[in-house]
Amino acid sequence: MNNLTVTCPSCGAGHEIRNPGVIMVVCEYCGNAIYWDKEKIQNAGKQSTLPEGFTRLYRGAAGSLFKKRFVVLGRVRYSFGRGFWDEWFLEFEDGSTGWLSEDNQELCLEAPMQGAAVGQFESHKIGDKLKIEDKEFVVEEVGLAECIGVEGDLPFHFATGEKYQFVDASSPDGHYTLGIEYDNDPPTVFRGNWLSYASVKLDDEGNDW
Amino acid sequence: MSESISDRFSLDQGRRRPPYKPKDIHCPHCGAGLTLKDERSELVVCNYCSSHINVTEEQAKVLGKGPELQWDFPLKLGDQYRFKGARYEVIARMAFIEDNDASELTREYLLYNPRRGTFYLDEYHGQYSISEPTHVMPKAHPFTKKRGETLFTYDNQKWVVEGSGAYTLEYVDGALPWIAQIGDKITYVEFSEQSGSGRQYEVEAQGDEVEFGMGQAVPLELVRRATGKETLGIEQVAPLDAAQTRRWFLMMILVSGLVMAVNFIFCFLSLSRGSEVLTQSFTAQQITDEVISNPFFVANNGNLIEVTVESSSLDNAWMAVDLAVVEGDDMVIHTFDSDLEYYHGYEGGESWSEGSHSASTYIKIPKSGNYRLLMHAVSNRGDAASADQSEHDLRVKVTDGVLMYHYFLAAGIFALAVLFLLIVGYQKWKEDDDDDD
Repeated sequence: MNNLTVTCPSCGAGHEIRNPGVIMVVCEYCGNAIYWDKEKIQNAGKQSTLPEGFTRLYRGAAGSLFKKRFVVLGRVRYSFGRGFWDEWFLEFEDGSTGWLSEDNQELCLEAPMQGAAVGQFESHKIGDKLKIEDKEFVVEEVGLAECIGVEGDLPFHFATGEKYQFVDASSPDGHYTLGIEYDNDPPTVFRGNWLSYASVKLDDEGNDW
Repeated sequence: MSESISDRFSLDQGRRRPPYKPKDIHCPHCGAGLTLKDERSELVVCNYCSSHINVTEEQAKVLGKGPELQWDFPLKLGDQYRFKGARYEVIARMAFIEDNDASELTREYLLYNPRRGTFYLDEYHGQYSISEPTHVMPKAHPFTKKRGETLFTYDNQKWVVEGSGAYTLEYVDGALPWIAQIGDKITYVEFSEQSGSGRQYEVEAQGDEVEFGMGQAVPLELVRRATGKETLGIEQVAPLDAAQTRRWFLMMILVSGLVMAVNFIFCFLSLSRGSEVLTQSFTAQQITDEVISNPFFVANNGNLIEVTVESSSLDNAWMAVDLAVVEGDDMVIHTFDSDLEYYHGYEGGESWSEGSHSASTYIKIPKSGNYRLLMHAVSNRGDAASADQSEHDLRVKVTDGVLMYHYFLAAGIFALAVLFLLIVGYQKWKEDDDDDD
């Protein structure tokens, strides 16, 4: 699948897909989304255009995280009712990928974890404590996330309007994050770290603002 | 292929940053053009007609008209503030009042940078502070704490409660990332870092939502530099924060306690210090005539001696004793008198007494050696104004090398009173949590 080139069925623009984990691309010219599996490429239709320029990260940004170079491949934006946050899909120079969450320009790096017993969504409320692999977390947010826009290259098929229940938690010392997405059974669990501003370096920080 | 990857990840090979373009909207009430600088803004207040506008929907919706501006804000919307090397802009201003008391006003500015997000600049009685959200949580329930009490957060910082209460949003302009309503009530607890570093921790609750913030007091001079506004207010003397006040109280309590303890210890030691060098009794007849005691020895130059005269047979009577310290055989070096009186009775169903059978005098002896006491006394019943002889026996005792316990006792009692007042003051300060200092 390396260097796969897909053509937008809507506007005909060609897109070179470099990372083998990518299965969806939103055409940067017309906003049409395409996704594929082993058998065929499908058209997911036009997506909402996400505004640019208001976030620290942006599609196509290059930089380094913990001295490891990365490129931002895509973004998914979720609304939680009283605001929104962005999930940035990153490709590192060794070919690995990861997700950076950005909420009010505060960043955390998360990776999925397997086998964590996190209980039902209804069992969680703000302030509850969770113990995952001997680390304690406190629930900070519970709610319903709705995908309100996608852009760039992504490793899953996302669709605007998709909803799932979520629980966000932090370790009480403010270092670690835990995200539970009730999008499947069992739910998807992400664990990560809050990042300081300085730990993420972008080639173009936009400090001229 | 590897070269292609290397190129893609090389420095400055990424896509150029898309330009920052604030969104222009029109006030649905008056049609005025407004600029949304932060895409997270949900509430925008029209600069022209003060309408509060919900901009979360595709179609902006007027929520109502906001109140008139009643307070001066030293910073205007759009003013800049430099923080951590970046330029922020004031995108919202809020006025909060505590307990319906207009003098308890906090001005809050929301500062925005599209790359770095937002933080708050607060001003209360001329004192500025900045705060940012934090995920660091308290180890104990913060809202049960009183001013002066301490709290640990999970990053092992120790904080002292500065104050707690509830404040109400009275005014807002600009754009906010939530739908604020005039009258919104926020319950808060503020903490200052125990060492007096000026760092602050705060917990705010509105409805079910609890948020934590970490901040720092900012001297006015720094605010002037950050904003470029030289005329910004008048430098106020910063009041002691709760951590400093608590530390002052605890230090004073400790010092008073130590002073009290030291004085009581010295008082106790002085009571048991010294050696008895003379004990001698005299009959009434002997003391009526001038009498000289047996010699006693003062061990060191400058020693303090305690001369105690006692007449246990005094009964509703008085005695006037004249004494002189005699060095060697006949050299008087010090004269003094010591008066005794003791009265008692039964009156109104209660017995009473006053005076004492004994009295002590302290005398500093310049040099060591043998001394004696020369004595003469007269005494009489209480209703007699004068006497020409003694009716009572007298016993005299001399103790060498004493300390004057009275001074230590007085100082100890004074320190005890100060300690009591400090403890009462500390408790009152803790309970007087109106945040008016």
